[in-house]
Amino acid sequence: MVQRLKFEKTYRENLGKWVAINSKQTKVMGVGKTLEEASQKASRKGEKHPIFLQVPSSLESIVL
Amino acid sequence: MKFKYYKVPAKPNDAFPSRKSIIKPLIPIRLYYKENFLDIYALIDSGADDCLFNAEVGKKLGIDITSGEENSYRGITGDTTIAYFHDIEIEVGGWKYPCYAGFCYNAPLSALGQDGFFSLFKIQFDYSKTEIEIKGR
Repeated sequence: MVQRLKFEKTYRENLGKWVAINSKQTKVMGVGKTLEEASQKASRKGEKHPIFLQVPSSLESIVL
Repeated sequence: MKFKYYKVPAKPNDAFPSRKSIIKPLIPIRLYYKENFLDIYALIDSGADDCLFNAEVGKKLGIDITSGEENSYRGITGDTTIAYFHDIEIEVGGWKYPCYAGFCYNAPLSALGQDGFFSLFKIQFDYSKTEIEIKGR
């Protein structure tokens, strides 16, 4: 069974950014300051339909 | 359909000095607008009145964000934000349904709230098993 991507590392490395994750949810395909930038980077790696994760700008507690 | 919570890092603080991580009910969903679709992770947020997404999500779907009807939201801290509403479709765990969703320019995340998500599904959170079960009504 393939392990899904762990978000702990993904969050720490990409605060305030958009992350494009492959459709199998196993690896990061692109990162950008905007969703569009992350999308373009993923597309260049052959991932046409990634799943986008918006990482908060800090690790402080969130309440909406 | 069952989903697992995601563990994300947290910043230790005076109230929770040993806190290094926290788990969140983030799930992958697919949004549709006309002929376009986009996959994102969204937070299941029982405290949110509506389904709200960052405007960048709507822009990528081809939505003219500010042409939508407005609603303002006030968070628990008193901050306000404006959302612009549009008719889209959401697919969750194989179920596709219409949703009147808001798009905000300063949304720090995408949230699945009461009207348009909890109104349509039976959702069971099991924190100890780090599991969320979603069933159609």
